[in-house]
Amino acid sequence: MKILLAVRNAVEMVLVALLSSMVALTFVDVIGRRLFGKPVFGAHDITEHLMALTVFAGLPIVTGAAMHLSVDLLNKYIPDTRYRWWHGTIAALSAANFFLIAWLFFEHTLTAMQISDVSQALRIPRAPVYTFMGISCLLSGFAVLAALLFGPLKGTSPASEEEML
Amino acid sequence: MTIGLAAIVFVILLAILRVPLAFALLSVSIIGLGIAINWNVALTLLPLTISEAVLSYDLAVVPMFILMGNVISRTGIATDLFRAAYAFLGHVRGGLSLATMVACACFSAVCGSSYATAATMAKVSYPSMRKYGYSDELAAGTIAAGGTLGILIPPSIIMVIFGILTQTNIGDLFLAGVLPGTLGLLLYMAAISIVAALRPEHAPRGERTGFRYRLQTLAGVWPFVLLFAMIIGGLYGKIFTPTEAAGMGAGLAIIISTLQRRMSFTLLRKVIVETAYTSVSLYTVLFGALMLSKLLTLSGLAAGVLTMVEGTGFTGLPLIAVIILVFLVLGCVMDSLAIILIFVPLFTPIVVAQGFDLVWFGVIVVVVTEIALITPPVGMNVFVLKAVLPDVALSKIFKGLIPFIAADIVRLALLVFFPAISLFLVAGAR
Repeated sequence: MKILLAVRNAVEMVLVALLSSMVALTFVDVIGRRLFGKPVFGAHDITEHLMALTVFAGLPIVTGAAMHLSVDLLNKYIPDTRYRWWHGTIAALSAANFFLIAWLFFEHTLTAMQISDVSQALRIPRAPVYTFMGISCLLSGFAVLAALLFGPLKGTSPASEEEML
Repeated sequence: MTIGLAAIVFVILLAILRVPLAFALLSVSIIGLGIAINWNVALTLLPLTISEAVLSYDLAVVPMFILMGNVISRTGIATDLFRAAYAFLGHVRGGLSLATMVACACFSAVCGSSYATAATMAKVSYPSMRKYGYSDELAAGTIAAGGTLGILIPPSIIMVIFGILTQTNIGDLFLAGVLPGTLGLLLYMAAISIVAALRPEHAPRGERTGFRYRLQTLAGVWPFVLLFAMIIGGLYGKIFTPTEAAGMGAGLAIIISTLQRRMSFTLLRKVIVETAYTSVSLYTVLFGALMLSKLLTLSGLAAGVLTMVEGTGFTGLPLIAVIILVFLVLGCVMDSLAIILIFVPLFTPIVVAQGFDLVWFGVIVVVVTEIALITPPVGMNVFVLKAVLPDVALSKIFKGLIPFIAADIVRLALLVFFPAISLFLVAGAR
């Protein structure tokens, strides 16, 4: 458990670094462009990659902590403590989604390598990004199953729809 | 077409049965595309859709606006806004409710979430309203209704989602929300005044404050003025794209809160992590919604519904009225985000085919969503308020909301019949 908490803390530090960099980069880019006529070259490219890294770095944690957005109309009637078979089915479905996406991203990586897929401005190779997405989905698939067997990762609260609204 | 229709039913069913929204949308879309088109297309579209969405500069607006809202809501700005509004309005009958409504509208302008607006304002203004003997109905109704302004007055996360699903310019949507949001505020204030006039015992007067105190309280609201002016001014003047406005807003919010000594590194870290987690949840749902949107198009459902509607001879505003009615009825029994994710891609081709402006339709959808947030039995804002104020009965909150729902209906009618209210600023910026 201590290892898991340490991993979560490390990932959270990475998330802080990624999101802060994104904000700082946009801030500097806009100020540079509007006030001094000197934008940061490739700022859009970097922001896109930072965004992808943020989403897929956080995905296994969000999944392990069962924080995926859900409709909570019937929470009272389908509580976590009852209908274990149904919760197991949900977990299997979620894990299957993740494993499928992981496999597809690994295939996508191979295609990206074959066609030398790169970003527009900075020509950053896409293949490593797709590999990262694949690994993240693979870990998320295992995280779903771990959450079902051992309970959701502690220290975070489940998300429901109102947080988005 | 049948597969598309079945997909919608299955998504709703799975979501209600507690399957996380992202997986309900993804599973049904993949299987639907596999059956309707072929498995090769389904499995090719999936990584392409996800990678295109996550590697999109325009979509980076989501975490940065969420971060701005999360940072600014922890700076105590809600208290400052309420204090200033109370100083000016507190002495009139219903003044505390009016002040709460103004503070809600201003808070909405720096925070894109209805939930955050209602929860924050409940903590700030409810104790004062209780102290001055306001009825629970009016107090809770004011906060729950005021909270809904959070998703119309920009920045608004729901508008970003609408923009992504319909490929509408998010900057235009934000500009289009300003006047309808202001109209909403004015109508809510009118509703409060009417309640206060008819039932004075529900809304006693507060203290009258001096002119000097009023000016002093205004000093506390400069962060709001600065952020709102920068975002809306920047978008209107085409100085910023929405993503740039979001980045500037988040950066400024962090700088302001640090200068005000209201933000420590530990708190900032917590806020950023929360933002990241919320963004991850939202992105995964968007991946699913974009896949469903593709299924609805490729399975022929969207085109089929369009043909069917055209066959009925129903056109123009009566058709829009039917769509609004569908949203309103669904809003009473289903969660608002799910409705938007599932039904907006279905209705958009109809609206476009009828020659209506999608930006205007976006505003209408958001206003309908606002109403859904406060109508029984599934009024999300009411449940949020109930969680913050556990000793106020749900029935009282719903009862207190009746005048505000009436005001919303009036606003909806005005926005439908006078699209210029929504499109005036957009036209100016174009």
